[in-house]
Amino acid sequence: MRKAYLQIGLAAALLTAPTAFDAASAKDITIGVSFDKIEPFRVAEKKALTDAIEAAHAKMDFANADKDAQRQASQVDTMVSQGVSAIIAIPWDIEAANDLARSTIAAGIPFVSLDQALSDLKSVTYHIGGDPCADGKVAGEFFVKAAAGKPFKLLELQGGLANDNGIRRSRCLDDALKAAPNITIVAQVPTDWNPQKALDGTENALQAHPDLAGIYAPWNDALQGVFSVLKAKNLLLPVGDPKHITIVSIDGTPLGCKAVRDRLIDLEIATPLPEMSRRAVAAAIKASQGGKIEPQAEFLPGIPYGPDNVKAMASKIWGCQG
Amino acid sequence: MADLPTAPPRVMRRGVSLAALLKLPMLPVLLVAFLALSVSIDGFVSAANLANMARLFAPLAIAAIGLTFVFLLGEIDLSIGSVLSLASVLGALTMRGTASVWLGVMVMVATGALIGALNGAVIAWFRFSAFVYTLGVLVTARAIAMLITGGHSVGRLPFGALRFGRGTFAGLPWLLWIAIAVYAAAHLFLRQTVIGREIALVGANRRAAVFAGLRVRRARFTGFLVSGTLAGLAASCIVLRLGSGGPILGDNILLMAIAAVVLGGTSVFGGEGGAFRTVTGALVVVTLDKGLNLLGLAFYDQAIVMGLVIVLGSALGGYLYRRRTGRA
Repeated sequence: MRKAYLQIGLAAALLTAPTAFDAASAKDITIGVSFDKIEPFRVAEKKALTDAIEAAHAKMDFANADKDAQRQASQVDTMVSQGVSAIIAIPWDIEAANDLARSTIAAGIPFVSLDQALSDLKSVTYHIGGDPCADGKVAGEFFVKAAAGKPFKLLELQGGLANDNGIRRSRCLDDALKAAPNITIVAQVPTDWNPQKALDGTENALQAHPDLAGIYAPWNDALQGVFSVLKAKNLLLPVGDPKHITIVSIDGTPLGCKAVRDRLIDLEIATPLPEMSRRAVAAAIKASQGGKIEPQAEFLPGIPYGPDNVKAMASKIWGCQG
Repeated sequence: MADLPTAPPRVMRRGVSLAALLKLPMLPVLLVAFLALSVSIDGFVSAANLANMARLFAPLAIAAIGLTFVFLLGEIDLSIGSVLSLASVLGALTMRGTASVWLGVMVMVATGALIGALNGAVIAWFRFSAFVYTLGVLVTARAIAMLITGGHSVGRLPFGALRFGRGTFAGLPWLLWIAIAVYAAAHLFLRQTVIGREIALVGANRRAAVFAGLRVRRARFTGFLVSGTLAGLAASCIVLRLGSGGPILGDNILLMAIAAVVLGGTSVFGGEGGAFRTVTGALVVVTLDKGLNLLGLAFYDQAIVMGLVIVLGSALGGYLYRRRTGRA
């Protein structure tokens, strides 16, 4: 038994060693940035944030939670203990992040949520994001117009249903489609933002409904899976072709812009990333200096563009530049 | 039932001396890594960061200790992540509906125990393959959690949940106390009880255990029961810390727990290992996870380092085991 106590004591001692806390210098502004995951869109968001933080002559302390709410809480707690000036986070779990935001603010550090809105917006110092509902609605209205009152079978791919963007891009599309009883949603496929699941869902839908008329891909990475299936079935045809399947996507990444330029999709709704990042950084810095942030939440609708106006719109679309 | 051997096998008996502690494959790695990170990262050994690490460590260690029981049997339980998710959803809903934190915790532990008992009964008595059966439970439990919540997390829990999850007692986070208690109980159970020793003996050689008259079914049932129960308790720790439960909350815990068990030196083939080894493995996982992050490494660099440590650590453990036991 004595040896067992020794082991228990050793295990506890490894975590309770004497400590010496070094507070970070308060002179420079360091913004702790916590991402929920890394994927192509997030890489673009990180670049936009990095540019905005550099432009503001601040420093960035970056952490990726890799789709783990517990890790994100731990990373933010560590940033707080290291004395960052403010936190900008893309929350993975929009419920868990409420308490994370409140405890961060209680420690005297502003908490700005970016892109993904928390379930309780009052928890944060400031939220800036796209407007997933407006984007879903624009997509729905486009399908209504494309269907032109005729029978229209639509495949709805859904993003992650555990986060705000996934939920509202789906719900508001469905709301917009209620005005058109001629449009039938043949399948709603939750993909958890996984292109492989988008591929599977498209394949299954086309197998069951060879007369499929439209596909809603609520994020650009889904297009990889969609195009793969369409190509295999000789249905990857340009806009204007009689057999073309109407496709609407959201994000505005280089992949989406290329698809528009190649006339493979009918409508793309680009999230205004650089502007979102600029406002997030400005709010974080202002709040860290004691300034009041108003309004507390802003939702920037996406910028719709298609094959016919992509040249004119390219300068406004971050994914079309470079 | 035939008499048990009068003393545990040589490998088990030697596992608790100080000399044997140094033979734990990951302990030297842990100490070196901890020292190196302490020197190179400002604030790594600050009270706040250590408390933070302890809260990350607790649910991982608890789930991994549960998995250790199954590994000692020479089996695997792929369902722990999904069991954790489902338990967290049911527990969080209970907390929100009743405003009782402890009722929610009991529901989480009971959910884990129930699924663990079902796993154990099916695998022990109906001789299902543990790999295939628990894979089925992994998929089903996650789907049920999704069905219940529609994919959403369950938050807005009573304030007492978060107060406990982030609170401390005698300077240490409450969650760490729970992990220490679980470790102590598991360690004593495996060392001091007949059924605990039978678990390792069954894992070392099931055929011999049958011929020796050991209660093989009971041992297998108990292993999976403990694994499920501790997955439920790990869910409680996470829910209490985050203030929410969710259907994808446990998605990452399975691989992390396997890493902790394997790094600690418990054999994937059964019969060799224990709770203390898993604690060292979990400490390595948490220390590297936190340290590499604080060093500013990109996530893919962190994943590469973690992967290398798992491969090299398990190889080192295998090598030391063969040396100690004289096996080829």
